[in-house]
Amino acid sequence: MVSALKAKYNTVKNIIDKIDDFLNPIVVKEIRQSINSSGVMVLTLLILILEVSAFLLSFGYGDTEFGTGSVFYAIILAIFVFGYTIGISGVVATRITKEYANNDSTDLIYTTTISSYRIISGKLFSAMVLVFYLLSLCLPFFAISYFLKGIALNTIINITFFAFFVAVPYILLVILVSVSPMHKAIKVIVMLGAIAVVAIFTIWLISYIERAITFSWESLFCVIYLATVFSGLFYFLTVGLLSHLTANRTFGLKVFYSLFFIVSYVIVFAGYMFSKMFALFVKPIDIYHVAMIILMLIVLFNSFERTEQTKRVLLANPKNIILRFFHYIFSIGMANNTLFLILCFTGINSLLLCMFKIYPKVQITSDDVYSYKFITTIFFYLFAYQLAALILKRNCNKYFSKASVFSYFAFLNLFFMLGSMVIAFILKNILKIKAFALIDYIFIFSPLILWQRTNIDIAFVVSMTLCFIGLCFNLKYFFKCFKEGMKYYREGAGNGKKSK
Amino acid sequence: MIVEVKNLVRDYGKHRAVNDISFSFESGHIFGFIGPNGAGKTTTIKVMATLDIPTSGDVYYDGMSVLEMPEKVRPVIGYMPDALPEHNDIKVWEYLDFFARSYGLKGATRANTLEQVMNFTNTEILRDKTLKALSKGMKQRVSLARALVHDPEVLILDEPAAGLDPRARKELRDLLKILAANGKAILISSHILSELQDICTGTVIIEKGHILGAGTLDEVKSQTKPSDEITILVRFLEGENEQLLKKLLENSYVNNASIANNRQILVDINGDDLESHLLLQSLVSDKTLKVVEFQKQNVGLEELFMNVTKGEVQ
Repeated sequence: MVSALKAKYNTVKNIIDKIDDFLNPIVVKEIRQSINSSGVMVLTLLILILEVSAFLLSFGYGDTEFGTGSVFYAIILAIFVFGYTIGISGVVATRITKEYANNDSTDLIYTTTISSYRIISGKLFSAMVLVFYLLSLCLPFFAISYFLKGIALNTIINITFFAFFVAVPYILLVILVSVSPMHKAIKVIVMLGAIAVVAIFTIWLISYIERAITFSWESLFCVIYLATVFSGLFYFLTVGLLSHLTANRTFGLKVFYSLFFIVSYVIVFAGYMFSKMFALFVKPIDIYHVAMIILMLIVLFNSFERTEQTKRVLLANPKNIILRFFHYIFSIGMANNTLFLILCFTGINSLLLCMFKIYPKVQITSDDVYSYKFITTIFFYLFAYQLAALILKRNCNKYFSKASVFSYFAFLNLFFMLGSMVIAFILKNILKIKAFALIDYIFIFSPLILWQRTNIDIAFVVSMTLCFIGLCFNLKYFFKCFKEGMKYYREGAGNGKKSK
Repeated sequence: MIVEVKNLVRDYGKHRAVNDISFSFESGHIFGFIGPNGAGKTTTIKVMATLDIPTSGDVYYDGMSVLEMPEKVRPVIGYMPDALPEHNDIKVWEYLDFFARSYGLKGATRANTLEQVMNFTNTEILRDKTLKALSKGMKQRVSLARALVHDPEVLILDEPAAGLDPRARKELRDLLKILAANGKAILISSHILSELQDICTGTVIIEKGHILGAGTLDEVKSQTKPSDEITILVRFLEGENEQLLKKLLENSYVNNASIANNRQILVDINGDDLESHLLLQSLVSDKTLKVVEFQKQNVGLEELFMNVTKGEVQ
């Protein structure tokens, strides 16, 4: 009997040990730190006090048209959302910022064999454990809101699921901002912007409660899709920032973007093929918008890139020339990224065109055309400024050796933004003065776009021309990098020797 | 394990922090990495620990490049920075356990390794203290334990003795001697040269990003060519020390002789053991001189350092 119990105990212990070994070290460390710290305890008490107060206060709304339950649920939802957007992310951001302010502390992690992917996954997972803990504090009160009446159970489940799901990209953004080498003031501004976005999302969710609308599959798909896209983007950007300086830091980001792009189009193609209703809900232009926004963020990330490829990346080239070409596209370096961007842009547009050709039932409205030109123009401007920044970097290096490509890129954007404002002010046109409020993002990029909506064609052509000129001026440099990238290959796995 | 630093250059904008330095050391040896503040020691160490990339040059661990395969190099290095982070929400055992996990140690192996390392570095008694609650000496011991947790073949220690009391310094010296005897290659950057002198088998002297001398102590001594110094202790008799001084300077191999205090004369000779012998013979054969001690002074790390550096900071 005793030996049987011992055997069972050993089996259970072995399983627990195996799970323990499998755990990400960062998760173990962060959770231990959370348990030891007073911050999480204070936050717990604060949340509980707020929830009990909300419970007591919500009875005053018993006679309103919404009912006590829905009001109470909306308050608890706000406590949950702001609990993680401000409370938990505050704990996470403070801890990471402290770690990164002390170089020795972060350096020690990078001398271990743990990869950047595991570090960021660990940080995300440990933060999500805290979000889940916060959710567990709110769940009993969500249940009470159902019994107080005025809200349907599936509304509670759907909205809570959405609010929880949005925490993933939000926490990843917090991690990205915390580890990035930005000035503290800029970090605070970005974080306030992110909190504002989540607040708007929460208000949108609460408006659903008021109207007692149940969620459709389409809205579920949209939230999951956008959350996945931005989570992936923030995750791979952070990994890129933390990877070793000689590593192929953009590899993950490029692979993710390519996969996202392929999967999105497969979904849309399949949707049009098999569902008559699909075209009513999802337009190809919507997918195009998301793809272009991510492409623009890659342009921004590209500004922080190395101008030359590292020896380590070059030596990791495969022997086969075709594979070497693909390796080149997916490798670090401004020339590589530019080729990747051009190929992606061409691919996105070709597939968009292809979709309209194959499915003529997809209606194109004038709004779709304007929307296409609008987003493409912004992309062209950003791309053109980056190409110009690269030219400036190469030619002004002897005068401003410390200036990076990003410095020039930021300078050009700022210059044209201010230029737009000045011209708008001189012309004194109400429409043009919109530039002051920066309502329409396109207005900030060139004085030319300060004209009316019908003149988007001019902006489109000008931006495209600027891009073309920028490419022409960089062509020699790009070709040199390409030649270098194609020259080397490895003779054996990781032997670190070159062919010539 | 052979560690080779080859033609390392590191620029920060227009400023060259490390300028074409090369040296090597191997298992079983403790190398002192010495130089004034701002000489480029920490920059070199960061490149060696895969935390920075050089402008040119490379570092090889048994032929593995830090630039080409940093992931393969990391398990063989134990890096100890001059300061330990000050967390008040993590205990010593949790901190060491985290690094053991990060190096991929699993289950019973991890538990046993932690126990061994804590016993070796005498940190067992600190296991439940938070990092912030530790004194400087305790922190250095924990930091050493952390660097040893994955049993690396090479240890890179940045100012390990800084801020330690004499007892803690002796303990650290003893630990390093044991580690070197166990076949580890150790590089120590330090300002406390007297501490290094007892344990170092070799040294690298760096100033303004340039190497001034590298190799075993004898090799560096021969590279820098300081003249041998002989201290002669004489019984004090009025006027006699002047007579002795005159006699010493008559020898062709004596560069210089000066009275250090009223009973000691310092002699610089151009030569080695043979010249020392001849000098001793001449002093002993002269019955009028009352020599009670004849001591050949060894050139220590401190003298070596003072001889080759100019105290210039970049």
